[in-house]
Amino acid sequence: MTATSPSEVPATPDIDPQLLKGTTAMLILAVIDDGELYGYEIAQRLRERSDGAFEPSEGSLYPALHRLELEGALSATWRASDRGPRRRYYRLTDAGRGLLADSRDRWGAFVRVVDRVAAPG
Amino acid sequence: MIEPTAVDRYLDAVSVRLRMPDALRDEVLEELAAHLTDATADEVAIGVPLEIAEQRAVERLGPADPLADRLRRTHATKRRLLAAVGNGLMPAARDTVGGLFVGMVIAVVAAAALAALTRVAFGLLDRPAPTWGEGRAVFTSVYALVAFLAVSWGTATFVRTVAARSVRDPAAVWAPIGLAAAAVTATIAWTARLPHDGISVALYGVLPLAALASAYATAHPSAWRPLRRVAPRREWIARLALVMLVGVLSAMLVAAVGQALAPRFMASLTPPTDAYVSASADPDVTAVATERRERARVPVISDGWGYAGEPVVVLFQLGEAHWSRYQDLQVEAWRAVGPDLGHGGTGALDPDLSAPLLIEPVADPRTDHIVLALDRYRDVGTYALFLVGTERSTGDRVIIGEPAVSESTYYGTLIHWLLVAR
Repeated sequence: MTATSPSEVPATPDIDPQLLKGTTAMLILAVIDDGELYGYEIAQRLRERSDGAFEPSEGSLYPALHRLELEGALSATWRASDRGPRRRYYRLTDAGRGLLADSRDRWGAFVRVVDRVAAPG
Repeated sequence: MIEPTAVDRYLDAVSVRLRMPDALRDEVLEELAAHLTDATADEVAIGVPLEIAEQRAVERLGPADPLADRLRRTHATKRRLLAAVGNGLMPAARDTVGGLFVGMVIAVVAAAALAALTRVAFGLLDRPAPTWGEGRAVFTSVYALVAFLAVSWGTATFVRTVAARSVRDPAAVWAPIGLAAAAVTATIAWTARLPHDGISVALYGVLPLAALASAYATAHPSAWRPLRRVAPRREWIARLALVMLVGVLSAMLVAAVGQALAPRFMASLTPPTDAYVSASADPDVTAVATERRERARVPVISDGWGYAGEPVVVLFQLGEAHWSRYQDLQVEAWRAVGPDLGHGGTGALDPDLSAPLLIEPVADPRTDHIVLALDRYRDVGTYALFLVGTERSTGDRVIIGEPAVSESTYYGTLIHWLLVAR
């Protein structure tokens, strides 16, 4: 776990939260693709990998994690911790890996189209 | 007293809004607690005081209410609800059978006690005790008790199981409502083949009411607040007693309403049958019931039970010989008393009456049916119908034909004993 305090993360360019809608699941899956993680670690990884650009309410992470688990994209395991309560570790399932691949493809296509349209003259 | 921390208050706030099964809620809260623990520790590690660190950790997690609502909605999936319904069916079926068993045991004990009491009571009155054959009401009541226990027990288990496995989503309400609707539908479908007396009608009301009362009481524990003074160990007995009390009182209400509405309601459910001319020694008076169903206007059931919610149509055939031999033909409806008239029963004409309730002339020789407005006499349970005419040669007023049954207490030609509901 990182020792960097989230409140110490340097200022980053603002990202419109509306743009993040629809990508949360893909971002979570992409982070967990690195390996088994629990909720707080996932929030930290999101922050680190975006250089602090993603600052959504950390609470919004858990409904998304639970939804992905209910949909079968993630599986979860409880593990004891020496720092208080047990941690709930999430890992990708095969379905989750497939979903991540699809999401990346669609996102790539979306970005290309947006770039084409938004590129100057 | 230890003052709750910001983390404690936050988790309490989430818990209050996190309406879902206890086990699931505990897991969600533990996961959030772990998150807050880590977030607080990270803040403290860089020198932030504990109290402020906890406050920051809570703020980063976001407001408690929206988070709890989103988590609740996330787990309120239809699939989860369906799974809960499916999981609830088996224990519900098991407890329904348990209710049947317990109900039968209670019924046997109650029936034995009732029989003993009845024997003693009638012995004191120096009158013969009623036989089981006359105990239809007792039998039906036992049936109602057993059915009530089975349905209410099974329903309570079903709702409890469903509620324990799914969040208290408004959609969950549809499960007991659907069950009750199915019970009502089955009852209506079943009713056409079941007795239509008042007690039975009450029973038909008991079943869906028992299901609804049990479902409501199980899904809304706060409804039991008055019972909190009861020791927890005995609380389930108090709950069952209260449900039964509500069920029985409701059944009585339904019975009262049913008594008023049942004739017309049941008439609409029961396939029409004929009032028919019974077999007679006179070959010209012929039973035509089977051939003339299309003419029947009301259900008149000859073998025990039925309702006359509309005027009764009496069908008959008279040979040409009758029209040359008799004149002033008419059908008379008499009040009768006693059960199972016309079926070897002990019934007879009401001795207190000297005149028919109703006389309907048969004016047209081609007429093969007449309409009797017996619906005016809803207090009369049993009628006897006679075809009467004046013999042209002698001018005597006679009953046409011979009695259709052998009991000497009957007089005249029996067209038919109509058994209709009181």
